[in-house]
Amino acid sequence: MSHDQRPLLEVRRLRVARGRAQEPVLADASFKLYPGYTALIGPSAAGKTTLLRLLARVYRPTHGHVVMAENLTIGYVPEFPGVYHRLSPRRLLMRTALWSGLGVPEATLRTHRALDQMRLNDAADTPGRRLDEGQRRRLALALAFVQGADVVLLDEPTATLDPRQRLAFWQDMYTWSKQADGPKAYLIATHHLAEVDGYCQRVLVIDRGRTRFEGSVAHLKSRAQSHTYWSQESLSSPNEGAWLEYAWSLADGYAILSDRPHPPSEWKPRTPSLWDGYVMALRGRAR
Amino acid sequence: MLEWDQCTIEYQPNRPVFENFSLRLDDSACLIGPAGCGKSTLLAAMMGFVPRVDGRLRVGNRQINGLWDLARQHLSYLGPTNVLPLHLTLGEYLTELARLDGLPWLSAIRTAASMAERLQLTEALGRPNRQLSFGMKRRALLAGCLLKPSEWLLVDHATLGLDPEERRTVIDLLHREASHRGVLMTTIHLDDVHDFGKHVVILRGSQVIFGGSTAVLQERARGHVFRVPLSLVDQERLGGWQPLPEVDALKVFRQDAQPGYQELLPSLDDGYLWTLFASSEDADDDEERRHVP
Repeated sequence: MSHDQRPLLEVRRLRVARGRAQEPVLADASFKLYPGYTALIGPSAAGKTTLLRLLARVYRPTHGHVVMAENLTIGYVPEFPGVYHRLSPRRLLMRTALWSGLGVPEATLRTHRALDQMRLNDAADTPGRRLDEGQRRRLALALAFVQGADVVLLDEPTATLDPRQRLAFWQDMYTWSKQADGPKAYLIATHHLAEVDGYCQRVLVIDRGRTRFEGSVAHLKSRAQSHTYWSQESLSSPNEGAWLEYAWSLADGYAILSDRPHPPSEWKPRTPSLWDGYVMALRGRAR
Repeated sequence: MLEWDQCTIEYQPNRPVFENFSLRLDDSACLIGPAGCGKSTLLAAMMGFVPRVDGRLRVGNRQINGLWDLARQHLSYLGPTNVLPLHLTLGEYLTELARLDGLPWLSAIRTAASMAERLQLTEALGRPNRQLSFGMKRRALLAGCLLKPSEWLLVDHATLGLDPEERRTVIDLLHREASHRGVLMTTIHLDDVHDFGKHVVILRGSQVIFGGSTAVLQERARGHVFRVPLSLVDQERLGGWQPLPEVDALKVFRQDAQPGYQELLPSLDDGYLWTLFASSEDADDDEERRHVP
């Protein structure tokens, strides 16, 4: 996967309103998608799935637009990938490759490689209705692969996976991106911050349909710098003018995230975690 | 104390999920393991939700096999699915539960409100359960469980589908609960295990392969986790590996260092994965040993 720093696509002030009341699901989303892995994080109902569907052209924006090269192809892997009940992975992949404009020899080759790469050889001729959840998810990835997608959008791909399955998923992604014709960029919606920290280069935080942060994982963490503490006691003294204050239990005390201008002397500085940076970004007032 | 002693647990005749399984927990703990290892089954068996359980089950010093009413008096259980009475508001639901526990009306209403506040659900008290988001439903069910002053709290996949802030709220609450009663939770996230910070039990193939503290689990991987430049990755001898955000190196799990390997401080995830790798002898672990392209 190339890591030059030119964005592959740019989203400008995207807005989607739905329902009779035209309530905004996405209010003002703007960001640039760079090569590599970008995590899309935010609270439940922040607009992550809507944003992915907009980029995949499932929805149309009410306002704003997406700027990208004309020949850029986008693959979308939904949270709960569906299947055609009677169609086997091999036939589905072959048809998809042909529909995307490939000739028969190239489509056959890509289908073969996709089955191999996504470990679907054993289930290649199994009707879709008999595939388990993991196989359906890998088939959805394989579909993006046979189309030669430049950008792949994944909606909570690891939400129900255990740590070993999650590792296998990221190994698949790594293997895929190493291919010469593999995708250049991934946008991955997730609630799992350890995954963002462990695998992604960049992160996009949205909340209530608005972009709250866009940048590197290290930069997001650094936003909580000088606001993170460790204490033996939980919060007890009055919150002196702080607009943000959290405390949670650790094995040996309490972790505190606070923007108090004068924190108590017994609070010791703590290295910020991604969670700290995420909360700072959501509150939108990091200094 | 919770104990499964020489238990055989079956959903279908002659197809045991556990056979002669024994586990004793004297204090709060977190159960983790690969999908299908039997985490949820162990909790369900203790509640009497599995058709056949042979052997001895104990809560405290009470033997509870077949005495499921007795078991349920001393246990609160949060199942893996979000099933709520959809026609009630959250406030009505929690108040009803408090009433069932014997509280008078006014007290039940106050208790329900206070529990909702602990789970940051105060704003949702007047909303019908059907209008709650997935994460809110999960927290509402947990609030219902916490209302009952039981001896043990069994929580199956407490944080499933929760966003990062909701997850932090729930785990912190369980951590606090564990200071005055037993909490046994299952999870698929090592973050939960870390933040809960109690005894960890790893199940694999319906057997316990690790029991100990998070610190001990993490330490297990010390000296076995390395950052290896791609040019030095030895395909033939590659064990477990993990991509890194940087493009020119991999994290590699190996018994010993090789020239050019940079040893990494292990994380809890590393401790868990190393424990699985070290215990892999069966064929299905080829998955972890796949080659790097």
